[in-house]
Amino acid sequence: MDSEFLKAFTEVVREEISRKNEVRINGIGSFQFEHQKQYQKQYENGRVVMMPPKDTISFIPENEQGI
Amino acid sequence: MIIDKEKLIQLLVDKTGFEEAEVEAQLLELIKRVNQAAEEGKTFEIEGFGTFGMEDGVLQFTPSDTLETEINNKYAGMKPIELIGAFKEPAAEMPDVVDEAEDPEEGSWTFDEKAADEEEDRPVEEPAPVTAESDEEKIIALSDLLNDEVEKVLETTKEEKEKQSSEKEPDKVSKESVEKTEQEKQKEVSPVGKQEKEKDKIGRFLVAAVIVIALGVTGFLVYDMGFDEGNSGFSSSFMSADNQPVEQAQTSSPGTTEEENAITSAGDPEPEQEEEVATTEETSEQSPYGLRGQVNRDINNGYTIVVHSLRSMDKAEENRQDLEAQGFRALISKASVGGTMYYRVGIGQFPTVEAAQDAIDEIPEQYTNRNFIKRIQ
Repeated sequence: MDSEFLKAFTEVVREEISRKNEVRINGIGSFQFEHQKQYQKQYENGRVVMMPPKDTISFIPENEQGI
Repeated sequence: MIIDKEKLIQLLVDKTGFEEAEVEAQLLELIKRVNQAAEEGKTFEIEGFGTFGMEDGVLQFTPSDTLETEINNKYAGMKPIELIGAFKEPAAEMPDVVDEAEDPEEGSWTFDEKAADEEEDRPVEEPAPVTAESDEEKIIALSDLLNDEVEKVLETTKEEKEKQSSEKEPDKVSKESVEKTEQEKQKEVSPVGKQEKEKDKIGRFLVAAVIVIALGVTGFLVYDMGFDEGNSGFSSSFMSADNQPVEQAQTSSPGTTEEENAITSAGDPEPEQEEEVATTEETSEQSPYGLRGQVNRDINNGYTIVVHSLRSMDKAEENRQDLEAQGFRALISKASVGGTMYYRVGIGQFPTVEAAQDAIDEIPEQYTNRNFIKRIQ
């Protein structure tokens, strides 16, 4: 595969996701932006920490059955 | 906005400068490769992007670290914060509490210089030293802080929603929110500090208030008792007054029954003082008044028990001397009744009518039922 293409592909996807746009590729699936809010996490010993918020890229496959 | 195939191709064309046909071909190639790998159970990796793989019969994608960090640019470097105030008893609750409702302001985060690679179950270093001294205090302080957190959470849920809607706008908003973040950070720190100080202040204020109240009550009691003594002393000195000179007069023939037997209880105006009773002493040493002893010429107020009322001054004087001989204070006063002058022999000098009445028991028996109380004039 053309490395330049792949590089460009990566960049394009990254930029679009940063703009909170969804990138849909039929044949594979779609990439989406996901924001995770901060939340409290409690451990077994009672210790509680506040997990920071997070922006992530998530992937939803096009078809769920095994190809 | 959804970037479909067409738009994607267009963007790629802009990015690479390739021809559209070329880009499309490359894209198709990519799709084929991914599916192929998935079919064979292999993973397909794109350098700097991520890895496609088949897991549990489902195609999955794992972004690479660089991509992840770049996407999470806003929050990159944030580490989990140890919530000392939120110490909860280890209960049967699920350890991972992802609570959507508890959603405090995301502006309270401090940035660590080291980028956080992983978080989750990795034990986090204790960031700030615990200020509370004993364990009990810690727990109390913790639960208090937790309550504060919860309150903040509830209050700021609305703000978060508003923020969310505005975040959908493009880049300029991200700058604003970064600024906001820093401001809110500072706000966050000061209220927490304030609250801790406020708690101490309240406790101290209560203690001071209790002390003030105790002092006030004590002072009032002292004042109250002091007032009583002053009052009684005051009343006793009020009693001393000038005495009228007792007239000496001739007595009429003995046996004349011209005594007035009416027992009146002071036809004169009411006595001035009824509350404070200066104890009527029988000994004239302590009080100017009394039943016995020397007639006190300095008193010009008071009452006496009249036992003789005679038209003859001589007679009156005779009776007076008799009584004096018995040890009583006896004095004569003049009174004009219906045109006739009477000379009254009175026993004792008393400040009030009641005092005089009390003394009636002590005068000679012959007079017990034949006397009346009159103002000394």
